[in-house]
Formats: sequence, structure tokens, C-alpha cells
Amino acid sequence: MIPLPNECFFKIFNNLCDCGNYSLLSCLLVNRQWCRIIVPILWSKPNFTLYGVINTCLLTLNAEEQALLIPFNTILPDYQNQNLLFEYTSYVTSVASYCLFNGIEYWLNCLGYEAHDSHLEAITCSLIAMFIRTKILLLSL
Amino acid sequence: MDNGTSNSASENETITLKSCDGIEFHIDARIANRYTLLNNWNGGESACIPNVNGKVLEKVLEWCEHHINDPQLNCGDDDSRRRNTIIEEWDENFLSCDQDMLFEIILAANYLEIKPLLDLGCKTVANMMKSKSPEEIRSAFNIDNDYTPEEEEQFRKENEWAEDY
Repeated sequence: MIPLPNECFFKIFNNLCDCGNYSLLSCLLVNRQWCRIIVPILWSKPNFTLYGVINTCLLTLNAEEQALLIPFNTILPDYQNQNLLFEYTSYVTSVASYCLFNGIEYWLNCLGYEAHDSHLEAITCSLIAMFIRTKILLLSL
Repeated sequence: MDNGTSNSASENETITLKSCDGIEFHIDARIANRYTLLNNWNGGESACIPNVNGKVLEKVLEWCEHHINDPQLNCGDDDSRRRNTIIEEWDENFLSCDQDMLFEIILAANYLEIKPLLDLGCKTVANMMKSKSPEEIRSAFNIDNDYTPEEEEQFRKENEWAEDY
């Protein structure tokens, strides 16, 4: 393949945004160069109602933010005991609160937690604290 | 476009461009007026367009000539045009060339700041990647996988939400 500058790849991958993220994810897994270009595109507007997005966001919490979850014995996700390969949330441009609440509720359901309001609130607070720390624009809080 | 012996719009003003391998093209001046960077190499007795060879420049100028009467896009229209995934038939045929030429055209359009051609080339490549697995993309574009298996698996996990969305 003739090497193209990153700005051309950026244009190519942006064209894939409109046809769902499956193709973008495939390209991300092609090689490291493409991954570095695609992660910021993929994570600029993630769907916060999805389990995997909440999962990865929870891995970004620092110790102080995680402390909010201690009273609820929340077991945080774990990807092979390794740190995240990217600081994904740093690429998020905005978060709509209703999506976030739905996503957290869904995440709790998937893991079999009973959906107590206080637990839901604690996770929401920890994530919002992380978003504020990483300067993400919060919409409609 | 032929190599400098004639041009199709004889009543119009023409300019001369020379590729990096010395092939001269006499083109309708209106093309150069649309794409200012081409204008910079006008008159090329000695001035050559660096980095673009005759074969590629011929293709680029063929595209420019076909689209000479297209409406000029404002900056604000750029996004809507880029996001439109429909490629008109002539353009589709034009870019049904071998993969190396397609990438050369993208490189030249990027270098010469011919934005609509760059967008078209990028859209064409994106269409070739659509709905393919990573392995299929690697084999279609002859790309080496430089991930370790563990790394690839971790990237897949951290981004697996994108599969459902």
C-alpha cells in the first residue's frame, strides 16, 4: 500500500462514521497507525447507553472517584489486570445526561446488581467527577 | 487530456503545467483558476510540479476537466458533500483504476489542494473498507499487522461496544 499522510486517513475514516461503527472498529484493529487515528474519531461521540462504553469509562476513574463506589461493593470491570491502552475519555466531546443514566442503569442490570437509586447515583457522580476532571462538556445535567 | 499537443477549448486561454518527470500539459486556464495551487506552476518552462508524475497528473487533470463546470463549493458546504456517500457514475468509473493509482491520485489531490477530488478518493477507499473484517482489510490493502495478539485482543475488548452500534 502506498503510504498516505494521516490527514488523508482521517478523511477516509470519517467517511465510515455514517455507516455504523463496525467498519471503524475493523479499521482500528488493522494496525497501530490506523488505531491512533481512529480512537479519537470513535470516542468523540460514543453511545453512552452501551454497556461497553460505561465499562471503559469506569476504568478511567481515579482513586478518589472510585472511593464513591466503595459503600456499594461495586466490582469494577477488569481487562486482564492491565491499564487501558488509551485514555479514551479524553476524546469524548460531550455527554448527554439522559444517555449516561440509561447506560449506567443498563450496566448495573447486566452485572446483576439490583438497581437502587443510591447506587445509580453514586456511579453517576463518580463518572461526572471524572468527566469534569477531564474537562468533557456535560450537556443537560 | 493529451500531452501538450492540443487542448479542447482553443477559444479559451490555456496554461502550461509540467509534471515532475517533465511531461507538459496545456490546460484550460479556468481549471487553474479553480484550484489556485495549479496556477502557481503556470508557464512551466522550467517550473515542474514536484512529487506528481505525468501519469498521475494526466488523471488528475482529466478529472478537473470533466468537472470544470461544477458549482464551486463554499467552505460551509464541505461537510455535507463529504458525508454524501453517493458517487456519481463518471467518478466511479474514473476511480476504478488499480489501487496504487487510486492512492497516487489521493496523494496528488491532497498535495495540489484539489479538495473535491481528495474527498472523492477518500470516499472511494472508505467504500472499499466497508463491512470488512480487520483481516479482510489487511489483505485487500496489503497491510502488515503490527499488533501483538494480546494487544489486539485488548483493543478489541476496550472498543467492543462499537460492534453493536
